[in-house]
Amino acid sequence: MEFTRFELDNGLRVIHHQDPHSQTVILNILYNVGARDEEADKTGFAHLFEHLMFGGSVNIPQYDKVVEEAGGSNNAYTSNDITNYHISVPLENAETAFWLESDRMLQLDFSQESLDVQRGVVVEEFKQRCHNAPFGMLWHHVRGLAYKVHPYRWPTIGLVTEHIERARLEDVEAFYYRFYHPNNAILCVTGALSLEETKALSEKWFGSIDRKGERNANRYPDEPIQTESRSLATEDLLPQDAVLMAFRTPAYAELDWPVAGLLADICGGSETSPLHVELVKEQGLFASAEAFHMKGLSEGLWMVYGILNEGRTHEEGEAALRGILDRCSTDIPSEERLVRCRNMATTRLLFEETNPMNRAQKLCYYENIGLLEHAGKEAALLDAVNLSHLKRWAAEHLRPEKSNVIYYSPRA
Amino acid sequence: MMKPDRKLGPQGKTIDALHFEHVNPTGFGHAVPMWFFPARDCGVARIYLYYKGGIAHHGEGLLHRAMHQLMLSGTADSPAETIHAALESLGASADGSADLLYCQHTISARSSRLAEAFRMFLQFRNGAVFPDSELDVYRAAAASELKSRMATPRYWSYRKLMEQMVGNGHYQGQFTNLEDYSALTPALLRAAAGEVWNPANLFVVICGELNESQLADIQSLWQEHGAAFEAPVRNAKNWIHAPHQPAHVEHAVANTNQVSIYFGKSQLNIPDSGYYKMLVLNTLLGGFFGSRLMQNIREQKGLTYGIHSSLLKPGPHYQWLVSSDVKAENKALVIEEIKREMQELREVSVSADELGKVQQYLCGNIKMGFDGIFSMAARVRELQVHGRDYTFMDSALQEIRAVTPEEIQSLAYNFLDPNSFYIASAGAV
Repeated sequence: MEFTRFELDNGLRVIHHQDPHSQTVILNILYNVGARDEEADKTGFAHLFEHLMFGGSVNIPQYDKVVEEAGGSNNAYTSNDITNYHISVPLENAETAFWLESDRMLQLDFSQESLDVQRGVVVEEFKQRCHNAPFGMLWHHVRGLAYKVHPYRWPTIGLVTEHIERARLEDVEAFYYRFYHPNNAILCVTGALSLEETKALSEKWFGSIDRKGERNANRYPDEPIQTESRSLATEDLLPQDAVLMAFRTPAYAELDWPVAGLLADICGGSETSPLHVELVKEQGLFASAEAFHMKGLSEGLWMVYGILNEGRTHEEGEAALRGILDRCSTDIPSEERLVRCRNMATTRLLFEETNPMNRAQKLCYYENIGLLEHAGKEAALLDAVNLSHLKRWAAEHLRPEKSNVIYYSPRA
Repeated sequence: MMKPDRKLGPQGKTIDALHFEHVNPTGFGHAVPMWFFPARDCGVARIYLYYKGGIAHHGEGLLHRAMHQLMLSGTADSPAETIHAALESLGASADGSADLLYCQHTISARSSRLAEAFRMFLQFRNGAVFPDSELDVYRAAAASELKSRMATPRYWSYRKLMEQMVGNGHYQGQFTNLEDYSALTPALLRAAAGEVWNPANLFVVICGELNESQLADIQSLWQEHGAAFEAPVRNAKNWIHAPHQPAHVEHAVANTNQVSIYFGKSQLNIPDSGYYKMLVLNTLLGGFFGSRLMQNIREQKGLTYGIHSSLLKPGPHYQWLVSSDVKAENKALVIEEIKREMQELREVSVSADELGKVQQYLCGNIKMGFDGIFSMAARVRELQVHGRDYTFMDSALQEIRAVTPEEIQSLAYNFLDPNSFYIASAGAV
């Protein structure tokens, strides 16, 4: 993946990546702020703030109207680590996107009315996603069990709706001035726009914005090493019993996610995995079962779960999952399985990179953690993984005393 | 450098031209039409096999969805895990899925391995026996997934709407009951697999980086291993119109604290030539973020996380849906607001400014929809659904730009009478 990086005087980092086959221009802006930057009694705030970013800026009262009149589309998401905004416009309206994004970085137009409306919207989103969807409270339970100190202990949507309902306008302003400035943001421009045009438009629209603040230092309380297994029995909106296990894994920048990811694929990533063949198909214990690794900037989570068939117990499910995990450091990783899963992972990377939006987000993400040189070179990291890496990693991280086990039952 | 004018800004310029390379369908073999959209520098490619006949309108939706999902679940010689391991060793995948109108298989791989993956797909597909053991696994997983959906307000509002609007008969694929899965047998699945192999039922789209030789290899494999075409042509049947008068049906769902609302109207007799006019009206009503429903009910009143309207074509006729999930105590208010917005479109002519915004948004979306290596498969499929030739894209923007406020009001008057919509609400009713 070829790209050019430059920095404006106000600290805004800009990455340009051209796609000569495209008719579209994408501006992706990552702000280095996520749910881990919230206070424990004001959770869900980073995500609420993301909604407010569409409420208009000092020179553009209706952000979405201008996007739509330019024939564009836009969206955003908030994670525990970052907040990411993207806008796509046809090439002829590229400059409109620079105007829009720079203006809300220059000065958001705060209003009590917008805050009141968006609090209502986000509370309904909370209910829709968490209270009225199967496994809707999953991340509340998993994070609450795996983390006791680090702000990863709450999900992006927030711990409770009351935190969102209590958000005040002065909180909104303080959050904006602390995190939403050029020095704490990364802009990636992909698609049809040339490097020269990108440089000129970036300077024209973003260059005059004051630096305003310091970059987020991303300092968080250290989560102690887990030394004993934790468990929780809970109910959720689901029709069958289920067992889930989560294990904490190292931070993204330590670059051992290829090992964690490949081990999850080998263990339970497809219909050829032991989790499916042995526990779903042969033993009929689970209706479905899967393992996956979720990356994170402070830490990741390696998860495995199974939805129990009728008549099977949580204890049976946990014992079977533990049996599979025990074998992850012995016989489950094989050369043949490693080659297959690596081939699949490498192909998946290639398909992901056909999407220019994915490329833009990846470039911002890597820049944010100071590893831009790794962007587009993940296949080499996957190639470097061998069997002993997998077994050693499993023996170190998937230990019983590091497990967080949840027994799920249908809500009474 | 000159200071930018932030107040005025560079407003969007009119989008009035599409730039795309014409690709006309060619024969894929066995008289099946095929579109190939070449790409460069990506190293991957994908084959889409579309089969006419989706889950909604043949009265046999569950069977066909299961058949496509289980297509690679075993041959007489190879169990499912052997088949999938063979594909995985190539870094390839072959997935089956079904929607309202079409079933499809997609075979994805690196460019250099796509032909080999396609060869395997055809071999395993032609030899599929749908073993009992895999069918049992499928039943358990599908039942679990169905029970999960049945716990949500959204599932029940949609189902209750459809039951009163079009009846039960054509929803076997979408609204299965748990016992329906026990009716699936390997013999039925094998018979269904044979039914789709008629050139008139199929079309193929290939996207990605393939050289002439790689593409020729894929076509040869199809020519050689494509099964005999003896199946009947599957013509889309129209849905049976429900005997009920439009009404509001409510359904309580335990353990929920929202209400999911659906408005619906079926049997819309719109000629394909009028589709883009209706698309403008639907977009104006609830088809994008700047729509009237979204702006009123979400952005001004904060009553919901989202509200959308959509115009679907599940058979020869169109169907209009509006949906939203809201706080229980706001249910009546949201229903009234939806009706009020419909009525206003019938009574008051849309301003040129608002219509222009919708037209510009749609033109931009169409233009950007040509970007992306794999997006063309969806474009081709969409044109097939709406009975348009691929070359129609030449005039799509002009057709959208030509829509007038008078036409919008007239269409709204004819199709958006709020009293002609069926309504269902489910959850904490």
